[in-house]
Amino acid sequence: MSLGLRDDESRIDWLFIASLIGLLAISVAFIYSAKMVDESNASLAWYKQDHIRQIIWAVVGLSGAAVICLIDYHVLARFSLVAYWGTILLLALILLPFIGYEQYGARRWINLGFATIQPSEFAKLAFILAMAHFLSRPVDELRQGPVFVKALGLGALPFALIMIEPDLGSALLFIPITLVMMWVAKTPRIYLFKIVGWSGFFCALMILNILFAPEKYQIQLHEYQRRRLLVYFNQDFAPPNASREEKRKADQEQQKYSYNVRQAMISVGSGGAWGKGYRQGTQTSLGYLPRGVAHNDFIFSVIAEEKGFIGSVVVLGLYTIVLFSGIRAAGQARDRLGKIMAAGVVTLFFSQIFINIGMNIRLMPVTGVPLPLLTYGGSSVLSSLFAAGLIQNIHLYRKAY
Amino acid sequence: MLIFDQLKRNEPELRWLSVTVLFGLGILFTGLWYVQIFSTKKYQTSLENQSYRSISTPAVRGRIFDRNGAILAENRPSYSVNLYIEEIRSEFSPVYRRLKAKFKKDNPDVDYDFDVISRVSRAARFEVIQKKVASVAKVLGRDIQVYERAFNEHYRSKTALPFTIARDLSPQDIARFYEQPLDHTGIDIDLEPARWYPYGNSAAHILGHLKRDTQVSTESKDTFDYHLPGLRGVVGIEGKFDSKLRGVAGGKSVLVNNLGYRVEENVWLPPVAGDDVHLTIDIDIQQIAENAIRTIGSHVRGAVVVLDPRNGDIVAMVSAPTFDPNDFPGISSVQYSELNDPKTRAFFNRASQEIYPPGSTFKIVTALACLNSGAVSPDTKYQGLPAYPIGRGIKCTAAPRLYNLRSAFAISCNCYFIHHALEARAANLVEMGHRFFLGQRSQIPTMQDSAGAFPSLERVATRWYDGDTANLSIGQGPIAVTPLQMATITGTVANGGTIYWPRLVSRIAPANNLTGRVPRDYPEGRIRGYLGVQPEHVQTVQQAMYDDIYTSLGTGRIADVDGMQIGGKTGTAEVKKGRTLVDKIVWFTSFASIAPGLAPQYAVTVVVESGGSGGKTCAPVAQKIYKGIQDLHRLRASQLETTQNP
Repeated sequence: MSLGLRDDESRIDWLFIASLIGLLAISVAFIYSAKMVDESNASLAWYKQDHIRQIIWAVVGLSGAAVICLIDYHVLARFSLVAYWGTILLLALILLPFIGYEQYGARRWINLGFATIQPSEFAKLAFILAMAHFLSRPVDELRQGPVFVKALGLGALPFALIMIEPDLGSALLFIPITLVMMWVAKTPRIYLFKIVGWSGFFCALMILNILFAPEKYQIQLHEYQRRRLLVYFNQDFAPPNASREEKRKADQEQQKYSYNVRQAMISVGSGGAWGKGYRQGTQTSLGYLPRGVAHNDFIFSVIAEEKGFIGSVVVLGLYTIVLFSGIRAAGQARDRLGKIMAAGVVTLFFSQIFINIGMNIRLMPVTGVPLPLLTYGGSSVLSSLFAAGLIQNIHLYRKAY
Repeated sequence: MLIFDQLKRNEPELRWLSVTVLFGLGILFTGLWYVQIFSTKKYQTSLENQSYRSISTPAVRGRIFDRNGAILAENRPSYSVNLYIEEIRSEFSPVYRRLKAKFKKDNPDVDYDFDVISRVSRAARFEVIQKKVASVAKVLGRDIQVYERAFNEHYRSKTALPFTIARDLSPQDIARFYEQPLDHTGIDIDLEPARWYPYGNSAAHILGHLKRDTQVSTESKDTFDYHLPGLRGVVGIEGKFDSKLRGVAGGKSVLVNNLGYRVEENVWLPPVAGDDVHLTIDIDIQQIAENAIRTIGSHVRGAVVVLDPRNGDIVAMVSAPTFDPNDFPGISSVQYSELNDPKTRAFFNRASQEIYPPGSTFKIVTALACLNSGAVSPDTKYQGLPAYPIGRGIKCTAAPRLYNLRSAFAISCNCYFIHHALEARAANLVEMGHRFFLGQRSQIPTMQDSAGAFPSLERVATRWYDGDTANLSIGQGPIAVTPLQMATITGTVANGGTIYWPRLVSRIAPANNLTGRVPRDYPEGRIRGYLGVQPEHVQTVQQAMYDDIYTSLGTGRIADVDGMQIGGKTGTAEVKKGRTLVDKIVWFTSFASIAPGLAPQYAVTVVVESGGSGGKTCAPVAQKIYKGIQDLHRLRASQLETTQNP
């Protein structure tokens, strides 16, 4: 073996790859299940159907991941700043009305004609690369204040741009990723505790403000963000001093906004232990779980309804393999760059999984955070597979001296 | 192991990361367990609540037969045009978009909020519905009214059910519907059972009528979300035996989508047909009696009861004016209020529900009381007077001559009966009335049963004057009876002293053997009591009643029918308000045997409001009834003969 691996250690982590492919297969199967109930969708040309498109994205993504694996991550890291500033540029560009593509009141996409891409998905990945690259400097340098501030700035820039779109969910993901990467990079803990302490304090303050402060003292959030938080915390939309008419309207709005969560809970809960069977779920076919979200943000509900607790556990199990393969890659990485990078990817995956599945069972508020590899969408599938490629890359080159 | 290797690692950062990830996955696992295993019941219930609607479907209503098996009420198919909203819904959105654009253009300043959206979508839906209705109306060539409120209400609460826009199509309508060009999307003709009364307004009061049953009955604790429009009996046999006739409703469940449209149907409980009800009515005699009373005039108000004195069976029971139960449900409010006018009261069963002062017909009871108490014997003679000297004097229309019991009865001499009733004492008279169960309900199962009015013995013992006795003895004062009660009295005299319960329903039986229910028979001749009077006294009264027909003095001579043997009593009662006469109720109550020497088979009581006199107004009606019965007997005998000797 030219790379000096022991014979019993395969170069490629087959279990990891099998889990990825398993998740992709589940994704395609349940996008099909969620979309085929709609007759207008079933009559589309095959290449316009979402499950076929998802297959195409998966193939493209896997190929991309394979290419990523071929190039040592040290080489990739050298281009990380290019990728980083490239995605920052895209994030800035979509704020321009003639480039950004607005949907559901947010400007998150760039329309390429044949597909729309969501730069924030790639920004996360580019950020992880750039951050890992930045933090891989000697530990001593991390003790310097300016370095620490720069590292924070590296995360704050995309965070702010994505916040403006607005896409609160995606933006917030940068916080745990930044913190975990700094932690793993052995940034002095006192710094991290300070950040966590202060940001936690401000978060709590903000939530208390939104929930309880009178209207004129409230922080200006987007109305939809405020509502989602109110739904999550089970608060009335109407201010306490509202007139009856206002209250009635607010109640209707509330019904509308809590509807998706309610229906997702019913889908998941009514699945029971064994589920209703593939394509037997009634929540999507009858339109209770809105067809616009069933195949993307709420794909987990569809799986949980049709395959029950068993299906949910299988999905969780596959994610567990993916996450711990990532942590193992971090542990086995031959240098700090690989370790920090792998930890960043693991945190990205884990945060998305926790937020998305959590939102299906009301542990988390509703946000547009995708479920890696399962949610329909080219950008999400590509960036997730590229990220997985990074992990495999770190695993592959763990012993290249 | 992938996981535990990570936890044993000697790098605290990665170990912490592993623990955090594992902990997070553990939370998700627990959360999923909680939702999917622990509280799955709750979510399954929510799922069922939001996506299933259970619907009760009415069963085939039982039929009603007369005593000879003629059908008095049955079901006929009725065709109606229904709109299936789930098939039309795709047409809503283009109209909605157009109306929305228009609204935004017309009201640029108005916020397009939830209220406006629902208002515009309501308007859009109704526009589509109206277009459909108009196309159907054009094809059928008739005007169809659909009210926006009605449709919105249906859409709001019963989206999964079809919306009916036209009922009771004729065969021509159906042909037009299918043959003329019409976009049939979402429009269909459906069958719904309707009630059919082949004899029209005959026996309408006995049968009763139906109404459309839209409300869930309060007594039945069912859990259906919707009830298909069934029919419910309101009064009469249809009303009283509604639960038997209607059978057991079936159930089906409808799977609905998030907007409440129907997706799929599933029958899980087939309906069980209702039981048939067999009546003691003879529809031929019923019609004879109806025609007979109508000869007085088309607006006559009155009643006829024909009983079988041998067992109390009600053979015919007529109340005039009448109505046609085929007009229900869906009778126009104009027609309804005309029939329900306080004077006409066509829905009121005068034969069993109305109470009238019996007038001289009550002398049957007075005579029996006098005979029984020994105050008179058949030979007791008494000199009549122009007026009986009590109070301000009670008039007597009979010539002031010397009468014995039978002649006084036939000519209806008031003085004779007042005098001897006073002699017999009030208590005896009232007690005799009680033996006939006056003041108590006849318990006929049509929800039209009055008890009448009759003094109690306590009252006689306390606040009672001779004037009251005098009035009571000639059927005035504190007494009122239903025609059915008077017929029962007459029948009791005719059969020699047995009081039977009037019977109207003889049998309730399932339409077929599949239902597994057992038929119920109501035995014939259920005895309510015995008169307890010596037979010769009853015979004396019978003789007196024959005299009323067959002697020159008799007031009911007109009722005579050749070949039959008839006994009767006329009566004219005055209804006073204060001192002024407001109405006259005229009576003729009688019994007859089809041939002399046989026991009487019929008791016929005729009462007419605002009539002339019992003898002139009512006796001719009875005569026509007896004549009709005689002809019917002959006809049936000859039919029987032809079937036996072809």
